Amino acid sequence: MQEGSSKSSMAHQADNIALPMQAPSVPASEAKSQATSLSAEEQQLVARAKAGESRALREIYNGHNAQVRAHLYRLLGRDCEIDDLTQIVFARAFNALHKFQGNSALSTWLYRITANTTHNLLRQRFRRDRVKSALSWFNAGREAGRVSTSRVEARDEAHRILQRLNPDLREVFVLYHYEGLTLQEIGNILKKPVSTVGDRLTRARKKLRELVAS
Amino acid sequence: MAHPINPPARYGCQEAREDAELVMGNRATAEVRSLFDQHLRGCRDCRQMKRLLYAVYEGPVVPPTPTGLAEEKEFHSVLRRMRDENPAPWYHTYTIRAGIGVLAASATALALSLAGVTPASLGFTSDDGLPPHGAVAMAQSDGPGGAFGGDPGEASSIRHAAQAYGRVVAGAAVMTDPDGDRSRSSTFEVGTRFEVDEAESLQVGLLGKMVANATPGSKVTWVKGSPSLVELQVDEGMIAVRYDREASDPILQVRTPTAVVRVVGTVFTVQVEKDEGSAVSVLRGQVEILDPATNQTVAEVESGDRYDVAKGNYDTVGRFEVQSALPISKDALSGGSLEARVPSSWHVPGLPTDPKNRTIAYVPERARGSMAEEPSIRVFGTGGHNSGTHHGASEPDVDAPAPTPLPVKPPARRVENDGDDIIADLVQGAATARRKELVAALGNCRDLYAANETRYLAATCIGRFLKRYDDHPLAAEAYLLRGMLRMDYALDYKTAEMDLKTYLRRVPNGRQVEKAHYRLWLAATEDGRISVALDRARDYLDAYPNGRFVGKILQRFPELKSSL
Repeated sequence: MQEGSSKSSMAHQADNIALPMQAPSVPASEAKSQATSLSAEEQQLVARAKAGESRALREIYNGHNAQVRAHLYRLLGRDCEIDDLTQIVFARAFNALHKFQGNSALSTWLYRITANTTHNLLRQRFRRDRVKSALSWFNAGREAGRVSTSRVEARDEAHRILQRLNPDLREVFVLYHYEGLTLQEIGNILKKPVSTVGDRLTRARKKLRELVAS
Repeated sequence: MAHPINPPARYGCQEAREDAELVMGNRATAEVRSLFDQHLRGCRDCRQMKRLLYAVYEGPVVPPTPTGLAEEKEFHSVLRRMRDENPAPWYHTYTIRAGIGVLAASATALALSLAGVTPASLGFTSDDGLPPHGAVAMAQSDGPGGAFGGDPGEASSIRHAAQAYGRVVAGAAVMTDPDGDRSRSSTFEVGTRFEVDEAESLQVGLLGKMVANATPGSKVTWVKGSPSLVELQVDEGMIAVRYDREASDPILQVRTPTAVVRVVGTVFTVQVEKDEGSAVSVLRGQVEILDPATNQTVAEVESGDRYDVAKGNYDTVGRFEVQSALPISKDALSGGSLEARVPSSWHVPGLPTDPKNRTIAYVPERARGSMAEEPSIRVFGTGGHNSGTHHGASEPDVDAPAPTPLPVKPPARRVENDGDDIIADLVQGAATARRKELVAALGNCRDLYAANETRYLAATCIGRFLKRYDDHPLAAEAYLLRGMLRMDYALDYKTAEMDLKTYLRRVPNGRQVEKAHYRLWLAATEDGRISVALDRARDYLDAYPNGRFVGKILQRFPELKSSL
């Protein structure tokens, strides 16, 4: 299926799938209201940060460091560059703070900066590691036939599977299932129509099913 | 795929895979769920598939985010990157715009003045435009030890060159300024070296943010004082530092010949012995020790621990370290006791938790053999000064050649303290009042004030006096002295200002009014309220053009010379 050609019904269908492990951090209704405006507290914080108050920058960092870091980890897996990327995301956010209009929650805005920061990196790595990961996947598959998978091993395997997912699909899957965002929010973050996001999510799930079964 | 048992004819691995998400999401019908479960019971591959799919949807277990020192380092790296990525941050555009506005306003004002029209005649007051000290602050952006431009990207509370100074609070030392000349001022700048008197300790405040106590005989240099980093170098002896750092304050480093101690906010001591290397003890918070050559972390020292850099081993903090840090203890100021107590926030292994027993006598001594078990530990009493010898001296070797005579050391100079005459006046006033308990109360405060090691307790003593004799004529001066002590030891500028203002309100024509005005200016400067400090400086210079503190004010605000 071509990107963007899916119907909105598919998007809704995708959005309605609620797996037990999907634990949205913010209820969808609340997230929607946050997407349109900041809370009074956040507005004040952003205003202080825009005025150059260093303590406000620190508060933003303290409040969202775990979110940014966890998102990077879920996107990239164990990676020595995660510390570096976390710093880059916040440095870019702080430098761009004057452009932040408050049309979305701070967390959504930071997801967008994270997505922009990792966009090229994810693609470069995916291209670079494609052959290598296919080979290790083949070997892992042979091993898996002999050894029963423990919980920890299953997690490692799941991580490898996720890394084999195309970056566009991985981004959507991670934002939806791990970060608990709605399709609308993901659309805002990636600047894609909801239908495209829904299509990518469906394709991501299908691909993951195939990878798991193979 | 081979099934060990026969599954239902219409439900195989393909069907199980397709239904897996439905089952996991609790959206499968009871019949589908039953078929799925039945299939999985007999199919190892599908069981594994289900487990894997679960793991995929569950996601990875995210490692914990950094905390403490690592978090601090990361945040500062963010700020550094922020500056690197955007050397002229967005807020500078506002500054530039404001600058253009000022230029435009100046040009207009010039044109109008040439035309004989004054801004006042057009209805402007001095408050309507940009305050003149705003421009002064920008012009003074390059101060000693680094740039102080008020740049929020620096994320520092040290924003002005006037803050980049230190002040001797008490004690005696040979002070050498950055040019190598002997310094006589109690206010000093970055690059100053201290050789502390052999019989007396030295207490200094730096940047209005931290207080340090150097033990007798110590050799310490203030190497750097920028908005992001303050660095001290200890060549010999021991220095105790209290730094209640806030997020935007600079990081503190203490350098010794064998280690760099990196601090983000804590109470700690660093000791350097000629032959035994360095030791770092932490009483509150945490410090990181770096290799001075590679800048790599060697160790992290938690509160209650003492780390010997040469041996690379840990021990617990001992009496000597606690005793060295007590004179700069803040917590004790708020306590009711006049006896030096170890603050409850300090972690001293073996010390009872009962506040009554948290005195130096209960701090366990460390076992012999480790550094700082010296006979030179001074017993700090109230009143006079103990002439304790500096530890580390060894017996002369009879076979060794005669040593070359050392150059004659200049005598250490005891820094004149603003409060000496006030406490003397208070005691004398009490004696004149001929009230026994008044004399006793103030005599006690005087004794505490007299010794560097107990001076921090004098504020509590005076507080008690004020509680009882607030309506007495002597109370006004007591407020002044307490305000000064609150500034010097607790770095509590706001409360100190309240005391100073109380003094000025009660005795507007008192003997110490000039000193009170000077201290009010100093409090605003050290607290980083530069526009307030400039206003107070102008007021002082107007009132006392030949005053005692003119030099100190002009040292920090040289641009005010023209207003004299």
